[in-house]
Amino acid sequence: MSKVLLILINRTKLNSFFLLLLYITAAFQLSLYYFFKVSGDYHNILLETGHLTAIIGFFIGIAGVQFIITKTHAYDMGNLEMLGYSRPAYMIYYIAVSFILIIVGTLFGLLAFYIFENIFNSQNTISKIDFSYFKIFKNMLLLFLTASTLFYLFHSRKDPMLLVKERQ
Amino acid sequence: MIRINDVQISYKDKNDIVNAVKGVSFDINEGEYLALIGPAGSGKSTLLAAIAGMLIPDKGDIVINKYKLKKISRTKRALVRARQYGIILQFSEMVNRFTVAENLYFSWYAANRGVSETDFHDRLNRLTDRLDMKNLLDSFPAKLSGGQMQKAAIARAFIKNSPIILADEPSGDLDPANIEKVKELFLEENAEGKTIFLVTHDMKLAFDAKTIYEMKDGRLCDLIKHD
Ligand SMILES: Nc1ncnc2c1ncn2[C@@H]1O[C@H](COP(=O)(O)OP(=O)(O)O)[C@@H](O)[C@H]1O
Ligand SMILES: [Mg+2]
Repeated sequence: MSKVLLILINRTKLNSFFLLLLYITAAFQLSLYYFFKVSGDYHNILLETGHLTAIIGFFIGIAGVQFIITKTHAYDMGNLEMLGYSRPAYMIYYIAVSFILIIVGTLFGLLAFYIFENIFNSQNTISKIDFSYFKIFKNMLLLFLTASTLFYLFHSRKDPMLLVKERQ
Repeated sequence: MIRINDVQISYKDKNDIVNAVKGVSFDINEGEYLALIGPAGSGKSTLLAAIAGMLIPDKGDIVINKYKLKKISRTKRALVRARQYGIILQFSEMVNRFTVAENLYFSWYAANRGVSETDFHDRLNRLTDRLDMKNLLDSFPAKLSGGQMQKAAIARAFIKNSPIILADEPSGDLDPANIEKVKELFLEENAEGKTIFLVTHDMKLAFDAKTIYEMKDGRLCDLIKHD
């Protein structure tokens, strides 16, 4: 049934593209934070707290966008359930799409950061310090996949007939 | 057989409760063609949704074969729908991000996992010929007129060859020629053994049914016809 996955990705291009841009920026920001932290570039605690606060604010904004975009699927989810697909059955596809977007966004974000660091910072390049890509992937997934899964569960909580009445 | 047993259903808004169905009981026997008529707002669509397992009654229960819809899980209810029902909702609801053809395919697939796809294509050809809707297959539901959407929803309900059809005003947006096609389709499928539960305003359609009930203000008030 990877057909469903392809359809979903293909038919939500605009939203997906927008989310992808946000994930790329998020991964870039996160990389910047970890990079400064491990290379000792935060010269005082205020600087670090300020940057972290900005990142958290940005992430909350992304969660807000996720909330709105997941809600646009409520009607389709009700319809799929009418056709006889169970909530767990269709949920897997929606979560899989989120997963793919987050992974791809993180990859591009890291790539952008790698290039950025190598051009603008010749002293502490990524290769010279203990910089963990894994940590960034882990945190991106932990934050954004959890959020979108919770939002999908939230928006599909009602009886299918009530979901179907949410046509926009 | 479907047994509807003293079913009561309400909608709860923020601080408002609407009692849409106020204690309805009747049976739908296997192979029966049953029509439900009644004024707008009398609770017909709500009752149909509950029979479909898409709304859970506050009181009473709906039993289909051996399943008490209220007692089984939401996942199991979806499975019952996949196996037992072809459903046409009042506003011809369709998966928006699927084309008409994809809507039909996934309706068929839910009930026919593992069956060869030639069965789907055979049924697709027959139904699209009968309803004259080949040209709609690649469109998205949002791009269709009310009548076109209704034809697509009808085809989607019949393509899976389920034993029971639940249809909520399936002819409301159709012109006379198309109503005639739908009327014939329902009669023929019923003659071949399908159970049909039809909610309609169209008395021409309703009179094909062997049994007609009338609903008013959340209650069944009349048995209009019974063979
Ligand atoms: N989602 C809803 N929220 C609140 N009230 C609703 C909702 N859907 C239907 N109702 C109310 O329930 C009653 C029955 O509606 P419905 O079953 O659609 O009637 P019918 O199909 O006979 O026209 C009406 O009074 C209607 O306003
Ligand atoms: Mg109605």
